[in-house]
Amino acid sequence: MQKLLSLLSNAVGMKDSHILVIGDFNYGTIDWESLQSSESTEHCSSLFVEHIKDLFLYQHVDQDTRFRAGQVPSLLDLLLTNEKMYDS
Amino acid sequence: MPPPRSSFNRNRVSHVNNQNHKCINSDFEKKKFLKVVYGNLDSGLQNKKDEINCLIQNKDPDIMIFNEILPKKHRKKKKLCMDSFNFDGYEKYLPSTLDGRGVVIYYKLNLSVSNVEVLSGFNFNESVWIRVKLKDADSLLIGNIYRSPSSSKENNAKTSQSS
Repeated sequence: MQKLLSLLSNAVGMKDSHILVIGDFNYGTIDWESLQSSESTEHCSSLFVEHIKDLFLYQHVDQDTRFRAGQVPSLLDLLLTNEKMYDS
Repeated sequence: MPPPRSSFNRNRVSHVNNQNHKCINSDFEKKKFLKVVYGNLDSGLQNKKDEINCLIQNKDPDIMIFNEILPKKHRKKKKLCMDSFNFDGYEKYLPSTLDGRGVVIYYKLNLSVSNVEVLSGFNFNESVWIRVKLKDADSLLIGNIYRSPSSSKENNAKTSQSS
Protein backbone atom coordinates (compact mmCIF):
# COMPACT_ATOMS: atom_id res chain seq x y z
CA MET A 1 0.00 0.00 0.00
CA GLN A 2 1.29 3.43 -0.80
CA LYS A 3 2.44 5.79 1.91
CA LEU A 4 -0.31 8.22 1.04
CA LEU A 5 -3.00 5.61 1.55
CA SER A 6 -1.47 4.60 4.88
CA LEU A 7 -1.29 8.24 5.91
CA LEU A 8 -4.98 8.77 5.20
CA SER A 9 -5.90 5.54 7.00
CA ASN A 10 -3.97 6.70 10.03
CA ALA A 11 -5.66 10.10 9.88
CA VAL A 12 -9.13 8.57 9.84
CA GLY A 13 -8.04 6.20 12.61
CA MET A 14 -7.35 9.14 14.90
CA LYS A 15 -11.12 9.24 15.47
CA ASP A 16 -11.48 13.00 15.40
CA SER A 17 -15.12 14.02 15.11
CA HIS A 18 -14.35 16.14 12.05
CA ILE A 19 -11.72 15.59 9.36
CA LEU A 20 -10.66 18.04 6.68
CA VAL A 21 -7.89 17.08 4.27
CA ILE A 22 -6.89 19.56 1.59
CA GLY A 23 -4.09 19.52 -0.90
CA ASP A 24 -2.65 19.03 -4.33
CA PHE A 25 -2.79 15.32 -5.03
CA ASN A 26 -1.86 15.39 -8.71
CA TYR A 27 -4.29 12.67 -9.72
CA GLY A 28 -5.54 14.00 -13.01
CA THR A 29 -7.29 10.88 -14.25
CA ILE A 30 -9.97 10.56 -11.58
CA ASP A 31 -13.56 11.43 -12.40
CA TRP A 32 -14.86 12.56 -9.02
CA GLU A 33 -18.47 12.41 -10.10
CA SER A 34 -18.38 8.71 -10.91
CA LEU A 35 -15.54 8.07 -8.44
CA GLN A 36 -13.51 6.20 -11.04
CA SER A 37 -10.10 6.60 -12.61
CA SER A 38 -9.58 6.23 -16.34
CA GLU A 39 -6.42 4.28 -15.59
CA SER A 40 -6.23 0.55 -14.88
CA THR A 41 -7.41 -0.84 -11.55
CA GLU A 42 -3.78 -1.30 -10.48
CA HIS A 43 -2.83 2.32 -11.19
CA CYS A 44 -2.11 4.50 -8.16
CA SER A 45 -5.00 6.84 -9.02
CA SER A 46 -7.44 3.89 -9.06
CA LEU A 47 -6.09 2.64 -5.75
CA PHE A 48 -6.40 6.13 -4.31
CA VAL A 49 -10.03 6.68 -5.24
CA GLU A 50 -10.96 3.19 -4.01
CA HIS A 51 -9.22 3.95 -0.73
CA ILE A 52 -11.13 7.20 -0.35
CA LYS A 53 -14.35 5.24 -0.70
CA ASP A 54 -13.19 2.58 1.75
CA LEU A 55 -12.43 5.28 4.33
CA PHE A 56 -15.86 6.89 3.84
CA LEU A 57 -14.25 10.18 2.91
CA TYR A 58 -16.08 12.61 0.65
CA GLN A 59 -14.36 14.68 -2.02
CA HIS A 60 -16.03 18.05 -2.61
CA VAL A 61 -14.16 19.87 -5.39
CA ASP A 62 -16.17 19.66 -8.61
CA GLN A 63 -14.30 22.05 -10.91
CA ASP A 64 -10.89 21.98 -12.54
CA THR A 65 -8.20 23.59 -10.42
CA ARG A 66 -5.19 23.69 -12.73
CA PHE A 67 -5.02 25.68 -15.93
CA ARG A 68 -1.96 25.83 -18.15
CA ALA A 69 -1.52 27.16 -21.66
CA GLY A 70 -1.67 24.34 -24.17
CA GLN A 71 -2.82 21.79 -21.62
CA VAL A 72 -6.21 20.35 -20.77
CA PRO A 73 -7.44 21.79 -17.44
CA SER A 74 -7.46 19.26 -14.65
CA LEU A 75 -8.82 18.74 -11.16
CA LEU A 76 -5.76 18.16 -8.98
CA ASP A 77 -6.59 19.97 -5.73
CA LEU A 78 -8.93 18.01 -3.51
CA LEU A 79 -10.98 18.69 -0.40
CA LEU A 80 -11.81 15.60 1.61
CA THR A 81 -14.03 15.39 4.68
CA ASN A 82 -15.66 12.66 6.72
CA GLU A 83 -19.02 14.38 6.35
CA LYS A 84 -21.20 14.26 3.29
CA MET A 85 -23.09 17.45 3.95
CA TYR A 86 -20.87 20.36 3.20
CA ASP A 87 -21.39 24.10 2.97
CA SER A 88 -18.96 25.62 0.49
CA MET B 1 -3.89 32.19 -25.12
CA PRO B 2 -5.31 31.10 -21.78
CA PRO B 3 -4.32 33.26 -18.83
CA PRO B 4 -1.23 32.23 -16.89
CA ARG B 5 -1.82 30.01 -13.94
CA SER B 6 -2.86 32.02 -10.93
CA SER B 7 -2.59 30.66 -7.47
CA PHE B 8 -5.84 32.14 -6.34
CA ASN B 9 -7.70 30.50 -9.18
CA ARG B 10 -7.10 27.45 -7.13
CA ASN B 11 -8.20 28.88 -3.81
CA ARG B 12 -11.23 27.53 -2.13
CA VAL B 13 -12.94 28.88 0.92
CA SER B 14 -14.41 26.28 3.17
CA HIS B 15 -16.65 26.51 6.16
CA VAL B 16 -16.55 23.89 8.85
CA ASN B 17 -19.70 23.77 10.88
CA ASN B 18 -19.05 24.83 14.43
CA GLN B 19 -22.64 25.32 15.47
CA ASN B 20 -22.53 23.17 18.57
CA HIS B 21 -18.91 23.50 19.36
CA LYS B 22 -17.22 25.02 22.35
CA CYS B 23 -15.28 28.11 21.72
CA ILE B 24 -11.85 28.98 22.88
CA ASN B 25 -12.58 32.60 23.78
CA SER B 26 -15.45 35.04 23.60
CA ASP B 27 -14.74 36.05 20.01
CA PHE B 28 -14.61 32.51 18.87
CA GLU B 29 -17.71 31.58 20.90
CA LYS B 30 -19.84 33.74 18.66
CA LYS B 31 -18.75 31.87 15.58
CA LYS B 32 -20.76 29.11 13.99
CA PHE B 33 -18.13 28.37 11.40
CA LEU B 34 -14.43 28.16 10.97
CA LYS B 35 -13.35 29.86 7.78
CA VAL B 36 -10.63 27.89 6.01
CA VAL B 37 -8.76 29.13 2.96
CA TYR B 38 -6.63 26.94 0.73
CA GLY B 39 -4.21 27.98 -1.96
CA ASN B 40 -1.64 26.35 -4.18
CA LEU B 41 0.94 29.13 -4.38
CA ASP B 42 2.78 27.65 -7.36
CA SER B 43 5.66 30.13 -7.44
CA GLY B 44 6.32 30.22 -3.71
CA LEU B 45 5.03 32.15 -0.73
CA GLN B 46 7.42 35.07 -0.98
CA ASN B 47 5.80 36.15 -4.22
CA LYS B 48 2.31 35.91 -2.75
CA LYS B 49 2.64 37.76 0.56
CA ASP B 50 0.76 40.83 -0.65
CA GLU B 51 -2.05 38.70 -2.05
CA ILE B 52 -2.28 36.75 1.19
CA ASN B 53 -2.39 39.94 3.26
CA CYS B 54 -5.26 41.13 1.06
CA LEU B 55 -6.92 37.78 1.54
CA ILE B 56 -6.60 38.16 5.32
CA GLN B 57 -8.14 41.63 5.19
CA ASN B 58 -10.99 40.63 2.91
CA LYS B 59 -11.82 37.13 4.11
CA ASP B 60 -10.54 37.10 7.69
CA PRO B 61 -9.86 33.37 7.58
CA ASP B 62 -9.42 31.34 10.75
CA ILE B 63 -7.14 28.88 9.02
CA MET B 64 -5.00 29.22 5.90
CA ILE B 65 -3.62 26.18 4.13
CA PHE B 66 -0.95 26.63 1.47
CA ASN B 67 1.25 24.34 -0.53
CA GLU B 68 4.00 24.91 -3.07
CA ILE B 69 5.24 27.63 -0.72
CA LEU B 70 8.85 27.28 -1.87
CA PRO B 71 10.13 28.45 -5.22
CA LYS B 72 10.78 25.87 -7.86
CA LYS B 73 14.48 26.52 -8.17
CA HIS B 74 16.28 24.82 -5.34
CA ARG B 75 19.05 27.37 -5.08
CA LYS B 76 16.57 29.99 -3.96
CA LYS B 77 15.33 27.94 -1.05
CA LYS B 78 18.52 28.48 0.91
CA LYS B 79 18.00 32.21 0.86
CA LEU B 80 14.56 32.09 2.42
CA CYS B 81 14.19 33.39 5.95
CA MET B 82 11.56 31.74 8.12
CA ASP B 83 10.37 35.17 9.30
CA SER B 84 9.10 35.83 5.82
CA PHE B 85 6.56 33.08 6.34
CA ASN B 86 4.77 34.94 9.16
CA PHE B 87 1.49 36.86 9.13
CA ASP B 88 0.22 39.08 11.95
CA GLY B 89 -2.32 37.36 14.16
CA TYR B 90 -1.46 33.89 12.92
CA GLU B 91 0.73 31.06 14.11
CA LYS B 92 1.86 28.32 11.78
CA TYR B 93 2.91 24.72 11.51
CA LEU B 94 5.49 23.59 9.01
CA PRO B 95 6.98 20.13 8.58
CA SER B 96 10.18 19.65 10.56
CA THR B 97 12.10 19.62 7.30
CA LEU B 98 11.19 22.11 4.64
CA ASP B 99 11.88 20.26 1.47
CA GLY B 100 10.23 19.70 -1.86
CA ARG B 101 7.72 22.44 -2.64
CA GLY B 102 6.67 23.01 0.96
CA VAL B 103 3.39 22.86 2.89
CA VAL B 104 2.14 25.04 5.74
CA ILE B 105 -0.96 25.61 7.85
CA TYR B 106 -1.60 29.02 9.47
CA TYR B 107 -4.16 29.41 12.24
CA LYS B 108 -5.49 32.30 14.25
CA LEU B 109 -4.00 32.71 17.68
CA ASN B 110 -7.42 32.49 19.36
CA LEU B 111 -7.80 28.85 18.30
CA SER B 112 -6.62 25.95 20.41
CA VAL B 113 -4.43 24.09 17.95
CA SER B 114 -1.85 21.35 18.25
CA ASN B 115 0.46 19.68 15.78
CA VAL B 116 -0.39 16.03 15.12
CA GLU B 117 3.15 14.71 15.18
CA VAL B 118 2.25 11.12 14.38
CA LEU B 119 0.81 12.24 11.05
CA SER B 120 3.09 15.21 10.29
CA GLY B 121 6.10 12.98 10.91
CA PHE B 122 4.69 10.16 8.82
CA ASN B 123 7.00 8.94 6.11
CA PHE B 124 5.10 10.69 3.37
CA ASN B 125 6.61 13.60 1.56
CA GLU B 126 4.96 16.17 2.07
CA SER B 127 2.19 16.85 4.59
CA VAL B 128 1.42 18.70 7.81
CA TRP B 129 -1.44 18.00 10.22
CA ILE B 130 -3.08 19.97 13.02
CA ARG B 131 -5.92 19.38 15.45
CA VAL B 132 -8.32 22.15 16.40
CA LYS B 133 -10.07 21.67 19.73
CA LEU B 134 -13.80 22.19 19.53
CA LYS B 135 -16.61 21.71 22.04
CA ASP B 136 -16.19 19.01 24.70
CA ALA B 137 -14.44 16.05 23.10
CA ASP B 138 -15.01 17.23 19.54
CA SER B 139 -12.04 18.05 17.42
CA LEU B 140 -11.23 18.95 13.84
CA LEU B 141 -8.29 17.19 12.24
CA ILE B 142 -6.84 19.18 9.33
CA GLY B 143 -4.30 17.82 6.91
CA ASN B 144 -2.46 19.62 4.15
CA ILE B 145 -1.03 17.24 1.57
CA TYR B 146 1.18 17.89 -1.42
CA ARG B 147 1.83 14.95 -3.67
CA SER B 148 4.20 16.03 -6.40
CA PRO B 149 3.62 14.67 -9.89
CA SER B 150 6.83 12.65 -9.57
CA SER B 151 6.27 11.48 -6.01
CA SER B 152 4.32 8.34 -6.83
CA LYS B 153 7.37 6.40 -7.91
CA GLU B 154 9.36 7.66 -4.95
CA ASN B 155 6.68 6.86 -2.39
CA ASN B 156 5.92 3.53 -3.99
CA ALA B 157 9.61 2.69 -3.82
CA LYS B 158 9.70 3.58 -0.12
CA THR B 159 6.69 1.38 0.42
CA SER B 160 8.23 -1.54 -1.39
CA GLN B 161 11.37 -1.25 0.70
CA SER B 162 9.45 -1.12 3.95
CA SER B 163 7.03 -3.93 3.19
